[in-house]
Amino acid sequence: MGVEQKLGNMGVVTAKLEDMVNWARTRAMWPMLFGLACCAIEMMSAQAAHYDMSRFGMELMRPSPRQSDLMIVAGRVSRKMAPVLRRLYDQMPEPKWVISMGDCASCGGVFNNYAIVQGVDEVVPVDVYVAGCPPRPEALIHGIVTLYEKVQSETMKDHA
Amino acid sequence: MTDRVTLTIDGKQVTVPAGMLVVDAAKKVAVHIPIFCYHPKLGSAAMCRQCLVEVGRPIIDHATGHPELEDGFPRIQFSAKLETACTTLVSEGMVVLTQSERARKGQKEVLEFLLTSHPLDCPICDKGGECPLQNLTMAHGPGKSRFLFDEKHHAEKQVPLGELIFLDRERCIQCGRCVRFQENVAGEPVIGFYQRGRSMDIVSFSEPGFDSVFSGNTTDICPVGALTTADFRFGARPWELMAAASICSQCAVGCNTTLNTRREARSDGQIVVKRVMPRQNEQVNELWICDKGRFAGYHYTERDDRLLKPQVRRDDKFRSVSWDAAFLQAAEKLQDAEKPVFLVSGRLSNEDLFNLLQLADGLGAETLLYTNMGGGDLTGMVGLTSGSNLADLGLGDVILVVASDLQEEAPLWWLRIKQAAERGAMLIVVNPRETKLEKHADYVVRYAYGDEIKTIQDMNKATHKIHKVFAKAANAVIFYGSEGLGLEGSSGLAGACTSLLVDTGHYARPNNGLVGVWQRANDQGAWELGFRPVKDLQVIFDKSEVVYIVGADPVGDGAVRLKKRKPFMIVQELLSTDTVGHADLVLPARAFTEREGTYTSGERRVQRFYQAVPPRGESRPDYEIVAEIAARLDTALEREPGLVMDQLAEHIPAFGGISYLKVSEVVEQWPVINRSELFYGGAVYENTQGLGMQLRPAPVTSFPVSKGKGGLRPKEGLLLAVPVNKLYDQGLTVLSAPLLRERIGELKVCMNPDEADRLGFENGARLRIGLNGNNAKALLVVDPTVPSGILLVPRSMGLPIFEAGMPVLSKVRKKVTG
Amino acid sequence: MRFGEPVLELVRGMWITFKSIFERPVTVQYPEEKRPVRPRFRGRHVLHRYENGLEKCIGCSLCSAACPSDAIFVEAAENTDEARYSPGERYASTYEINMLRCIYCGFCEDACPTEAITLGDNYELTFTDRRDAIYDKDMLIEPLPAGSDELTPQKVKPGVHTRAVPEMKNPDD
Repeated sequence: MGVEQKLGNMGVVTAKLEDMVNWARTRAMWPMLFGLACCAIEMMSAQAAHYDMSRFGMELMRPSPRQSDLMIVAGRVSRKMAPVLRRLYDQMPEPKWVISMGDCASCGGVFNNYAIVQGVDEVVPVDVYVAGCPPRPEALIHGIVTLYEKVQSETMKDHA
Repeated sequence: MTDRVTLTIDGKQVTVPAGMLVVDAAKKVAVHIPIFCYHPKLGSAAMCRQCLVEVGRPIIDHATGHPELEDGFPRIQFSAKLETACTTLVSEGMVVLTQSERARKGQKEVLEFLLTSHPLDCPICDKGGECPLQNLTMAHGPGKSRFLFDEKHHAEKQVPLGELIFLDRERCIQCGRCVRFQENVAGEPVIGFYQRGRSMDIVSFSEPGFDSVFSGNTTDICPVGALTTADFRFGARPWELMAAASICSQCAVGCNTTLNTRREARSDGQIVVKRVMPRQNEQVNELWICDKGRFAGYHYTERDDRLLKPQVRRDDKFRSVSWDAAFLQAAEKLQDAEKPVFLVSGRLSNEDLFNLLQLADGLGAETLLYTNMGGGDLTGMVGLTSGSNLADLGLGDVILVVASDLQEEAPLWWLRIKQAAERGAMLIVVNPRETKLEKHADYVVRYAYGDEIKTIQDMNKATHKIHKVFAKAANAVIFYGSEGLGLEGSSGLAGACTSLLVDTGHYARPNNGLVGVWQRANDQGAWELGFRPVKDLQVIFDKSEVVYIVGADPVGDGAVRLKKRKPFMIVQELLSTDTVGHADLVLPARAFTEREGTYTSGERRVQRFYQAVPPRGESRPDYEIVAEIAARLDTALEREPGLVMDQLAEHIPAFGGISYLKVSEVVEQWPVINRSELFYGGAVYENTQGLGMQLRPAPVTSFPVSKGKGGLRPKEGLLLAVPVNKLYDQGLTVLSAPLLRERIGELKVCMNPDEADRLGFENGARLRIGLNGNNAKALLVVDPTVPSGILLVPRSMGLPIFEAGMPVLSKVRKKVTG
Repeated sequence: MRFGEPVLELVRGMWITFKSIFERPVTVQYPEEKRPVRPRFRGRHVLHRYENGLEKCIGCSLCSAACPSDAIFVEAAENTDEARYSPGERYASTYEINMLRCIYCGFCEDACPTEAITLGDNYELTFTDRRDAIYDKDMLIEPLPAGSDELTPQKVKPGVHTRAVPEMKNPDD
C-alpha cells in the first residue's frame, strides 16, 4: 500500500502474505496418486510426456502421503477401500487438497450399489470434482487448474 | 355332456368348465393369446380380430357318435379360416394352435392394419410403457409396414370427453372396450360410437361430458393411449413410477389401490403421488375404482395447509414446540383431567384406534366415535363374516338397500349390487326418493321421510311379501344408510334390519348380514373396537375439562359450538380445520399415504395399506403419537403397526386370528392379470400385497330390540331439510382435488316442483338457506323425484348441517335474486 | 561378464537420452493449446432447437430411461398454442443432467426420437461443488438459431405444430 512507491527505487516489491503463500503452494503441489480403476490410466497419461503435469509443479506422483499435498482419487471407491483412503488422507500434512476424478469417485457413477461409496466426499472433503468416465487427461488438468484458482483465493483462516 | 371339457392349446392339455372361451382357457396354461377388444370382465366383441388362432375339432363319426380315430388318436379337422379366440367356446377334444405359422401370420397382419392408422407417437403418449398395442407389436407385430406412410390417418388429438377424460381420436383403435364398459359394467352408457369406418369416433352425449362415476376405469382398460385422465396427462412415464399398495380412504368400501409415486421437481423435489390405480381384489373392487377414489384419493394429503409441527396455544397464538414438550403437555393435561374425553373418527386406522382405546382405558377416559350414523354395534354382530363376497350373490339371493343413495355414497357397492342383480339376485330398493339403483331393482319400496323404521318393521311381518322373499332366499344382505335419519334414527333402522335378518335366519354365515353405508373408511373398525357415538356432543364439550380429538372436525361441521368456557382441546389432525383453529395443543398426524395401517371396510374386511411417500414435516403416525403420550403416563403401548395389530387381535374377539401376515396373503384370482401382459386386464395392478381378511362372526344369542322413531316428517307450512350425501362434496378430502372442482359445483338444493310452485320459486333460483343459524346461498333445482315438503340439502357443501345428521324443519325465509 | 559391459550399457542408454534432446517436444500445452477431439467424441450434452426456435425436446423421458447411470431427470408438461415450447402436446418443463453421474455413453442420443439431444465436444467439466454439476435446461439448450428471434415459449397459430414426433418417412425411399 504505497510502500512500493516510496521504496520503488530500492527494488522491493510487497504483496500480501496470503497471496505469496498461495502462489508458492500452487507452484509445487505434489499429488498423491490414488488410482483405483480406469481413471488411473488417464491420470498416468496426464502425468506422462503428452500432457506433462510437471508443467504445473507436479514433478512426480508420490505414493507417500507424508510428502504430498494433493490427493487425486481416481476410480470407484469400494466400501472396503474407504477406511484406507481416509487413513492416507489423515496422514497427509496440512494443507491438503483432494480432487475427485471421474464419475465413480465423485458420486458413484453407474455403480449405484451397496459395494461402492456413493461419492468420495462421504469419506474425505473434496475440493474439485472432475466429470467424465473417465475424464480425459485434459479434463484432469482442467480440474487441477480449477483447484489452483480455488487455492489462490484461499485465506490463512481457511487452514487455521 | 359333462360340464368340464378337455382341450389342447399349443400342445398343453387343459381341463376347463364348458362354456369357457378359448382365450380364457389358454390363460390357465399360461398361453397368452394377444387381444385388444376382449376383456375378461366385458365379454367378447370380436372387433379387433387380434386373437386369431387356428382351431381344430375332432371329426365325429356319425354312426358311433365317437371321434374318428387315426393311429389311436382322434382325427382333427382344422377350420378353413382362422377363428377368434375371444368368441370361440371350448369343446371336447379341441386343438388350438396359437403359434402356428398361419395363426402368427393372421395376428401379424391384423397388427399391420391397426398400425396403418395409429399415429405412433409413443414418445409422448401417456400409455407408452404400459400399452398393449406397444407390447403386442413388439411380440407379434411385423417389423415393417407395406402401407404407404403418407396415407396415414390423421384426426383430432385432444378431445375432452368431459373435464376428467381426454380422447385422442388418432390413437383410438375402435376396440369398444370403453363403450362396452360404460354399458355393461358401469350401466351408464354415456359414451358411444359415432359414424362408421375410418370416421368412427368415440363421443360423449351426456351433460356434463362423460358423466359417470366410473369414467376413470376406461383409461385403464383402453388398450392404447386414446383415453387419458386429465389428472395424469403428461405427468410421468409409467416406467418411472414407483408403486405402493394402498386402500382407498374415501368411503367404507375399501377399494384396493396402488399409489404410483415419483420424485418431482414441480413439488420441490419431494416424492409425491402421481396417480391412483385400481389393484385387483375380486372380493372388494374387482378391477375398478370410482372417480372419487381416483381423482380425489390422495390430493388432500398434499395440501399446503398440512400441519407440520406440534403447536401450542400461548397467549392466543400458536407456537411451534418440540414433540417432547407436546407429548409432555398432552400427558399432563390428560392425567390431570377428571374424566378426559377421546373423540375419534373413522378416518383412523385400526391400529390408531386400538392404541387410543388402550390409553383411554388407562386414564379411565370416555371414548366417543364421531359419526352421525348408528347401528355399528349391530353390523358387528350380524355383519358380513369371513368368506363373504358380493360377487357370490346371484340367483336365489336377495339384497335390500334402504335409506341410501349408494351410487353417491359407495359407488363400488352400487356396482357390485347392480351386478348381483344382473346375475339374478333379487334387489329390493327401499328409499324415500328415486335413486340410480332403482333401475336395476326388482322391487322398489317408497316410503315417506320419517317412516323408515316402520317400513322395515312392516316387512318383517310373516305375511309380508318381502318377509317371504327373505325367508326363501339362500342368502340375504341388507345395506342400510342414514338418509333422512340421525344417529338415533339410523340405529333404529339398523335394529329393524337386524330383526328382519335374524328372524329369517340370515346372519352369522358367509354372504349374509347387515352392512352399514358408512361415510368414512374405518367407521366399521371403530365400532368393532368399541367406540360409540354420543347423541349430543355439545353437552360433552360443555362439561369436560380435556377433549382429545383425533381425525375429526366437530367445530367445522357445526356439531359443537364453542362457548367462552371451552375444554382444553388436544387436536390430532392432518389439515388445519376449524377445530384445529380452536385447539390448545395441535399434534400433526401423518396421512395414510405416509404410513402403514389397516382399515376395516363396511364388509368387515381388514385390509392393509402401505407407506407410499415420505412423511411431511415432523408429522408422526397416530398410533405412535398415542404410544408416546402413553409412555409419559407409564403405559407401554406398541409403536410398530404390526405389533399393535397383534395386540389388537389378542384383545378384541372379533379380530381374533388377524395379523399383518394373514391380511397380506394372496391367492390366485380370476381373471389372472399381471403387469407383464397388460393387454388382458388393462393397466390394473395385480394384487401381491394382500387380499385382506374378514372378521369373525360374533357369537351372539340375543339382539337388542329395535326401538327408535325414525326421522322427522315434513310439517304443514314448514320444509324438512334432509341432509344427503353427495359423492363430490366440498369436504376437504374432495375439494383438494383440483380436477373435481367443476363436478362439485356449488350448493344445490332440490325441491319438488309443486312445492316450488307453491312457494313461488323457479328452477335455478338462488336462495338463501338458513339452517340452525348457519346461512348459505344455494341454487334451487326443481326435481320431481323429491317428495313434497322436503328440501334435499347436500352435506359438506358449505352449509354445516351436522346436528347429529338429523333432518331439520325450517321455514323458508326469503328469495335472493341474481 | 566382460569388462566394460556395464559402462557400455550406460553409454547406450545415455545416448538415447541425448538423442531426444534434438527431438521436438511432444507435450501439448493444454490450457493454452487444445487438441481437437475426434469426430466421435462424446462430451457435454446440447439440447437442440428447430429452425423456428422451438425446442426439439418433447419431454418423453426416453433418454432418462436409456441412461445407465440415472443421470437424466425429465419432467413433462402440456404445451398450448399460447405458450408453445415444442411441437406437439408435450414439452420438458424440467430437464436436468447430472454431469458427474453421466458416463457420456451416448445412449440418450440413441434413444431420442427427435434428435433433440446430442453429445458435444466440451470436456472441461470440473466443479468445486457437487450441486453445480447438475445442468438444467437453460444451460443445456443451444442458443437461438440464426434467423429466428423468438425464444420459447412462443405464441403460435393453432393447429400448426400438432405433431411431436416428425412425420415418419418410408425407410425404403
